[in-house]
Amino acid sequence: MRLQKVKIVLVGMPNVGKTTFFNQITGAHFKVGNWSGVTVKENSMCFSRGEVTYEVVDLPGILSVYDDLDQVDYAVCRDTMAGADVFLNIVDGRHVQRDLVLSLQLLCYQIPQVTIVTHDEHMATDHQRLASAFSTPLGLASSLTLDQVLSLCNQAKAINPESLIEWPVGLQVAFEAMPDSGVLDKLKILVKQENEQVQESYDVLIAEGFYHTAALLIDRHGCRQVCQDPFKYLDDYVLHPIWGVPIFLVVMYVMFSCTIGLGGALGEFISGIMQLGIASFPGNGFMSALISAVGSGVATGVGFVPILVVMYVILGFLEQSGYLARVVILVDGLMRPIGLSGHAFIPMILGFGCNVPAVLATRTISGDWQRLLTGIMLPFMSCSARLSIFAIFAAAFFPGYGALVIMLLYLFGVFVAIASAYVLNAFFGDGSQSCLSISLPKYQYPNWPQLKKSVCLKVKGFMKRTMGYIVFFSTLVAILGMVDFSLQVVEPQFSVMTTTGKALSHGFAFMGLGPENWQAVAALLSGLVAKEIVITTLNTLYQGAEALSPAGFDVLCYELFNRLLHFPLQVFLLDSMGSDVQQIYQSYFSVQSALAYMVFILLYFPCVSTLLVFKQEFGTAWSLFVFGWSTLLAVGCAMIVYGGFLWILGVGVVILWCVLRLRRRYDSIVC
Amino acid sequence: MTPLSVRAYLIKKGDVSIRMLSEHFQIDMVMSQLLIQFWVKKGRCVQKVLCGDCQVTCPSQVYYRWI
Repeated sequence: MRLQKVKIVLVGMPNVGKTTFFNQITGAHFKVGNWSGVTVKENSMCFSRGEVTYEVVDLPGILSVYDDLDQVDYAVCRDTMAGADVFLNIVDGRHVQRDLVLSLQLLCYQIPQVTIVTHDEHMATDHQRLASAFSTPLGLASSLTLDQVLSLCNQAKAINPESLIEWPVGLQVAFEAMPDSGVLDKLKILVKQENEQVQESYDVLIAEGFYHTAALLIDRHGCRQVCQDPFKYLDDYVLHPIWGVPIFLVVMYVMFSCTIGLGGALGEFISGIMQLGIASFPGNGFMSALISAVGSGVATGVGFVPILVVMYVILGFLEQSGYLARVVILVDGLMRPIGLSGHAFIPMILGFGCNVPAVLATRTISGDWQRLLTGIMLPFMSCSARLSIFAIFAAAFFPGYGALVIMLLYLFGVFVAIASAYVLNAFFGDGSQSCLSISLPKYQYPNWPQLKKSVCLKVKGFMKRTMGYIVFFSTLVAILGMVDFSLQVVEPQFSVMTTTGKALSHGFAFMGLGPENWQAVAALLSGLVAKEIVITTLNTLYQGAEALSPAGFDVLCYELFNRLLHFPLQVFLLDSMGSDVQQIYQSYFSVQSALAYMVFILLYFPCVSTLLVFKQEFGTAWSLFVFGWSTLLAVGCAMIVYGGFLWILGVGVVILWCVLRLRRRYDSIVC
Repeated sequence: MTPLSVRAYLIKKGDVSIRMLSEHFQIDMVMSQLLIQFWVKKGRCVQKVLCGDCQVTCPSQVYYRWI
């Protein structure tokens, strides 16, 4: 008996809800977002029903099936589409006419097609009329299961596009003069040819044919709709030329306040409880020290979870509501002088979560140089791993102002990214300019079950990725802190870790680190593997040196309730409490050196995973360049911050000069 | 509304915003954006920011001009 394989490919315009529908019918958990360009590579899953194996493939959004567009993911889409057995044409119920244009283009493949309507709650036309307009079996996404989709696929038939599409006369003549082949092949040939017979080029006539037919079908079947957005008035505020940026800063500040205030309080409580459990282990020897070191690392790692949960919930809320897509327009003006458009900010927003998917998301950027420039900017975006480091330092050195300091660090990262792109563009840029043309998603209430699922997945991913590193490095650090180079157990001050750390620490004097704080240098180097382990390494080393006894359960509960009670007031910069761990940090760093250390961590070399993805996307030479460039900037900025007031004044002047130059360049482009 | 009707409107009006195009053709702004994008990619139409007083670009001040 021979098994039959059916390939079902989800196709549609960007941001119509392809991946959301794919996740719904397959049970997968791929990243979704309320803006275009979230999916950058194909995702697929296989299912068997009787003798038939169905492969369901999700693709990035496309605008056209015959035109050569210079985006990397479009080439992947067209190859996959050519091998499809059935198309699931995903249509946004709010933009039926726009999506009908692509649907007509898909008919040219002469592959059976099923139409799935997403956002059907906003649809102004009934199901039957739409099915007639699209001339295919049609289902509403909100109520479909995988089996219902497969049943619709079995009903689908290929349609001859010639019977439906009304081509302009000039194109009709050209078709007849061509050898007998498929419509799509003819279109692909004609789109590259000059039209000598009539005034219009063939690609304009082809587009005219599709748009004209779509308009006719919409009118014939009574599907015309002008979609109303009840929250449209919000754009007058969030995109306001004066108030837009302050509103964005307030939103960011509230996000970091909640992350540090609420997440930080819960994180410290959980971490404290775990430390209590670890302290109850009896013994005094090598094994006891090892358990204590690993346990301390794990407790610190688990303590990050509430911080990340709060940040992911707020970021997810902003993403789903459609606000983050508006930020792209706000920053477009800042991107223009460096030859980029606001589109480049989408990977940068993703970089706030993790730099790896952000580098992959650069595939949606048009133009090789623009894509590379966006990629070079990404390591300066502070990922969630760095947030865990900033949270501890900000609480220890800037009590009451932690959220503000963290927000400023994030903005500083964005500033360094844009400034460095400006410099690189001046030296290596090809002078090309991309303009912003973005379809703003509608404002919508977040889908809470989807948000919950997405946050759980991200936290699970963080734990899975990080815990292995934490256990390994905590063990390694503990062992290296107890043995010398001949692997004999010795006093901690003669161990491999202490000796090496002290030797290396001389190289970091530019930001106030010396042999007395060699632990900070060792932690920095561990960040090359993953930034998450910087703070666990630091905690393990400091707590080993200080032999700190954990706070009792009653003290932990008192601190938790006190911080939760004071949390709403902390948003308004009121004071907060300091824990024993924070006091240890204060004894090793001055305020200036702590700030320099935070800036260095913000900017220094990306983690190994980011570098590997960067190498895959842009090549070895550029990944080495990013490694060196980011570290060079980190050293420079950390020196400036540690240098004190005069340096800061100097930086202020430089920033002002840069802003003026950007402005002049901007004006020259506009004029 | 088709690319040629949009071209005719752009030539006739001079500077046209997405909102103006939507109101004229009675289509939603996403559709207008797609049609404008068609001509921008062909290099026949350019994006202009008429407000020069700030670094921030708001969509109501972005216009398109046929060249």
